[in-house]
Amino acid sequence: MDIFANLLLGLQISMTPVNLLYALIGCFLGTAIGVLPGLGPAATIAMLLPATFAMPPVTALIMLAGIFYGAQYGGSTTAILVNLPGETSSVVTALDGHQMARQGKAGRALATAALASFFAGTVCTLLIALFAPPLAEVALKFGPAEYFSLMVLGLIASIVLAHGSILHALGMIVLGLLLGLIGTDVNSGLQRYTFDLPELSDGIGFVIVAMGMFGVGEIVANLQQEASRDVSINEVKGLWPTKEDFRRMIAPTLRGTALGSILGILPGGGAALASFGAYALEKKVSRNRHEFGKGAIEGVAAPESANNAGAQMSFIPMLTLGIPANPVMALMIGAMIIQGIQPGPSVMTEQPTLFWGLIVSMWIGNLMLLVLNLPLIGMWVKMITIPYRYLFPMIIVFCAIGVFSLNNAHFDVYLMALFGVIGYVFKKLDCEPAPLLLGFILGPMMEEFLRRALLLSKGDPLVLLTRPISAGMLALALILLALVLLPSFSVTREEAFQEE
Amino acid sequence: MTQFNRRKVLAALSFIATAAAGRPGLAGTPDYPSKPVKLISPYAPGGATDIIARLIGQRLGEQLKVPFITENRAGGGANIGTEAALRSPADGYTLLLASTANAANATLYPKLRFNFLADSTPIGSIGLVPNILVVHPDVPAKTLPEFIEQARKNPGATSMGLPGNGSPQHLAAALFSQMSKTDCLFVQYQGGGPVLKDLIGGHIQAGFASSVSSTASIKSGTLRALGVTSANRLPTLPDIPAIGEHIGGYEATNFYGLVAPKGTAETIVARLSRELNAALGETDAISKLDALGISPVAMSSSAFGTFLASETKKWGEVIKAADIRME
Repeated sequence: MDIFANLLLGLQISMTPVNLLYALIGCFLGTAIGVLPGLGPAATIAMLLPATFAMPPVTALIMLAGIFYGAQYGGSTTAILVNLPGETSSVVTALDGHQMARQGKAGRALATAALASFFAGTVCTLLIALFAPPLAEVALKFGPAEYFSLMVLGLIASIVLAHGSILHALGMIVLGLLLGLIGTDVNSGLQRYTFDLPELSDGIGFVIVAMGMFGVGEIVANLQQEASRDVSINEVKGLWPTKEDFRRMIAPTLRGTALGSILGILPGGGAALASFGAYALEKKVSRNRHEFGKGAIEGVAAPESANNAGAQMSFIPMLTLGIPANPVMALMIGAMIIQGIQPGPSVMTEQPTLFWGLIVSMWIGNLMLLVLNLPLIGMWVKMITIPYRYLFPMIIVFCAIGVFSLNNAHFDVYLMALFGVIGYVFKKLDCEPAPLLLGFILGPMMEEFLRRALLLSKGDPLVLLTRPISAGMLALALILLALVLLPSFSVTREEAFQEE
Repeated sequence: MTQFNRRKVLAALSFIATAAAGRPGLAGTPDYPSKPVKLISPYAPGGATDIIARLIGQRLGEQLKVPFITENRAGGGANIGTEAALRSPADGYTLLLASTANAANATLYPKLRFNFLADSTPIGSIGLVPNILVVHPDVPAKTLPEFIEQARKNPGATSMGLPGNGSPQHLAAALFSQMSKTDCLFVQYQGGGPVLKDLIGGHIQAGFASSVSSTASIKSGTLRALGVTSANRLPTLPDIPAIGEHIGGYEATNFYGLVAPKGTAETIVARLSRELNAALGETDAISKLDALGISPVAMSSSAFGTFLASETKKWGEVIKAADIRME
């Protein structure tokens, strides 16, 4: 069969010593920068780009791809250990992952994250190998109206994210939406709520808000109750998931992988929803939903698999259409064209060694990451048993470095400190930051897609209902909303989520 | 022991001081550059500007034997990085990768805290990047005149995707509207990638896209090219006419170049200009720039200064006529 010949070709390419070495370097670097909060794969790849000019194209891409998915693995480590989500995707991992860590189950959470990611990576490598071009066609069917309806669905689902009062969750979502308004209006170029500060004209960076509200806010709150925290972290309950853990993570991983693969093929916006969506879904269907937010292993397995699936699938628009799904893919395209390869529909036929070499190397890279990450778990877990008075200054310093490295701007560091204070206040008020962050991510996208859809329909809102995919998603959102608001359901919901 | 150490340190310090004083270069410039040079790219890592900065920086670093470090200072439509570069000491150790955005921003942003032309010293041009007017294959217009006719007949009916308010592509489209007397519906996106996606998917009908991002789609037939914005046809797409062939005098290319803060010593500027032009003459650099869709154009520093002034004037007029605002 053709596909086997192709995979065999890919295996030959990716298994050469040089390519294996660079895959390892990429994975290692990616893990390292993923663990450091704030420092993202895009900045790292940009710095390394000149170094790749001298490499053969496939080797360069294998290394850069390794950095990309290495960072996805590494990002969850900090989220779980110290509640510091450095990327959109690890916000939800922090919710239950960090709770597990506080209960001494950090090792089990980290292993779950690595195994779920590896499984998703394997499935997605196969999906890309088998169906990349038709999947890209599906992605093209999504216009502004479809994206808007998808975001609405995501936002409604996000109400489920909170485990406290619905009113608090709604309030935080709205606040997130408002924060997302800051910046330059895409259509008119008008500045909104920027107070004439050029630093705000591109809006507030996600990392700044996330690290401030989660990381710094958490530290302030912890310092208030230092004693209790040290005790809870010191009793480490096993590094490896138990049989029961494995049983519980299978279904969420499968569901997370499926959702992540579907959302991941949509460039610009899809992947951001993957981990949020997977978490919300699990919280609805899981038998252990009362544990969510208090250290449920499903709450780690589902978003991690969805996130890795989404990341892997974002290669599809890049490889088949030459469209970058995110800044990292834009850099990969840059690396390819400097090497004289035009990414686009012809890559598969004209550059089969590159295409299949890269795809097979993705799987090898995922395997390497698993091998690289599992032995590290012991070390990571030891790290958080460091007395907190030594640990927290280090976390703050790394946060500051990470945020500064985004734009080389002091302003961003001060802004993070401000969000740290805000995060602390909200913690005291029992308002959770996750819904705020989702509103913050989805708000600007929703606005952009809605206005674009209306601009193209000459102001006719019916376009959202006459396009079948869009209408279907809005209907789903409506059903979900009814479920959340129906009195009988909300009673059970409160029973489920508010009992201590 | 301590005494001895201190004396040793003092001796070392005085040696360094003498050595420094003895070297004529520290006050003047003959041994420029003696430490790493910072090249500010006013955009986030990953964009075309960023890649060009790293490419040119690497090349200049090899020639001048000091590292050139690209520093991304993104935000404010390139104004934050530009201001940071122009406010740096004029010692030749901080340079800016300038582009069409700098020429346009002078008019787009009325409240800037700097004057790009007055506060910078031109070093030289790197090259020009043309844009291409592309349409979805289902659009009936097969040629540029047909497209112009279609757009004139139904004002506001043809949707045109652009990568952002005030972007070079937006300026190219505005100039096109003004000169061809057409009226397309401008739909703004955040960056060129999403424009291409909606264009290939048929959600919008037309767009101005950089040559480098759209060439592969044009060659594979998923997009149809109607005209290029450069004065002449592109060697990579010889069948596609220059828009100027139908609309006399139309030209809208993005430029890239290097500038230093105002007051940088002439000797340093001359040295950098010489090295930049030498780099642009090398086949390896040319082929890499070509791959990125940049036609290398070498200019003396004074010629580049004149060019910057004329681009600022040209786009200022287009922006005012089209009433594009960023405030």
